[in-house]
Order: sequence, then C-alpha cells, then structure tokens
Amino acid sequence: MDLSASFDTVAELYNANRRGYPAPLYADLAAITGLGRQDAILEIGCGSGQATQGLVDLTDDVLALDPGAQLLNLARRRLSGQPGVEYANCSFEDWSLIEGRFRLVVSAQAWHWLDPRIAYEKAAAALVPDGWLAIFGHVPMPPTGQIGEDLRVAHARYAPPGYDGPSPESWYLPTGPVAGLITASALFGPVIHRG
Amino acid sequence: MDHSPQSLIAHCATISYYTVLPTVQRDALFDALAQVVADHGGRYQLTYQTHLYLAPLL
Repeated sequence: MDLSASFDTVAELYNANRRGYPAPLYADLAAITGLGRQDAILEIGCGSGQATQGLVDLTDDVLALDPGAQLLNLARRRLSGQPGVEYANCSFEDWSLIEGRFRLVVSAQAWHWLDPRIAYEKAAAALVPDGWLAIFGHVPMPPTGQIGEDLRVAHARYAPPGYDGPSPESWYLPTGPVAGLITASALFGPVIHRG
Repeated sequence: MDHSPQSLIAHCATISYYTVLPTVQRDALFDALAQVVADHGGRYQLTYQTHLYLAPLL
C-alpha cells in the first residue's frame, strides 16, 4: 500500500484524533503573504479538512486536493455549507495543472509525501507571479522521563528498527530539510520560518 | 494533547508508519504502548511543535 494512501483507510479515526492548527499560524500566513479575500488558495493534501477550515476563513476561493475519497467526504462534512471551497479527489502529482491561478499553494502535513521531482515546479506553475508557497506541519516532541524511556523500549521490542527514534514528522523541524529543499528548487525564496 | 491509553492508541492508529505494520505486530505494539501509559497513571501528555515555512515565488 502507498503509505500516503493509508490515511484513507482510517479516515474517521484520522478526523477524530488529529489536531487542527493554531490561529496564529493563519494570522502569519495572511500577514506575510498579504493574502486578500479574493485571492485563490490551492491546498495540497487537505485530508479531512483540519487546515482547510482556517484557509476558508482567509479567502473566498479555496481548491482542496486529496487522493483519499473518504477523507474528502469528511472534509466536505466538516465544511458543509461553507462557500468558497471546492474539492478534487486526486494527488497533486495527478492534478490537472491550472497555471498562474493561485496566490498561495499550501500543504499542511502532506508535502513530505509528494514527489519532489514534480512538486516544486508544479507548485510554482500554479502560482500567480506574486504567489507564495506555504508548508507546515506538527511535530510530536519525544517523550521525556521514565514514561518516555518505557515507550521507547516498547517500540524497540515490538516495532521494526528505527521506530524507537525520531518520528517521521521530524521532517518539519527547523533542523530538517524543508527550508533547504525549497531553496534548492531555485523557484522560491528566501524562506521565512515561523514556529 | 492529554492521552489516555485508549486515545493514544486511537491517535497512533492514524499514523501511517503504524498502520502499515502487520496486524499482529501492530496490535502487540499498541497493547504495549497502552500498558506503559496505564502503568504511569493512565495519562500521557503528548506535546507538539508546529512549524510554518513560507517562500515567495521567484
């Protein structure tokens, strides 16, 4: 199974147990990009709509993509009655590019799933000339103290090698590759970090 | 996020690197994780950082 597709098999659990994003993050998005209500946003990997809700509060024009049909159904339910948001059931890689339409291309906790050979160039092509790329994610902090050690031991005993180390979400830490990858694309920059 | 043994497992069940494990192995791991939380008073505080990266189109 494609790892990114595994979310759709646990869509209801995902919707109930994954946390949303803090209001200051959306305030930073709006303030730094100068986003207006008429500006279009393309959201990549919207899942069940945890971040989409905050994006719809910023503009009246959001297109949200996700390859998971069950997750998209949950997003539609979460944002039921909310104007200004459309959905497409596809991966970003398979999405039919609309060139130069979006002021912001944004991905919450999903960019690390994309094919980097496609993602940066396609995101750039989707943007208007003064557009922005925004990538964000939560990173669970390693547990500390005796409970942290006991959880690590349980992972070491019952899970494959590596599960007792840093989580895959550590990709989003400032020590991770995000800013460097954006810069290396030579399509975006300079990178602004908030966290 | 404050977790009980049950809510921690429900959370873990949404994470891809757990969901792809063979069922028997995943169940054994989840049982062990839940037992750890139960042994430590039944609560586990999972904390997060949120990081945002923004870059203008060149």
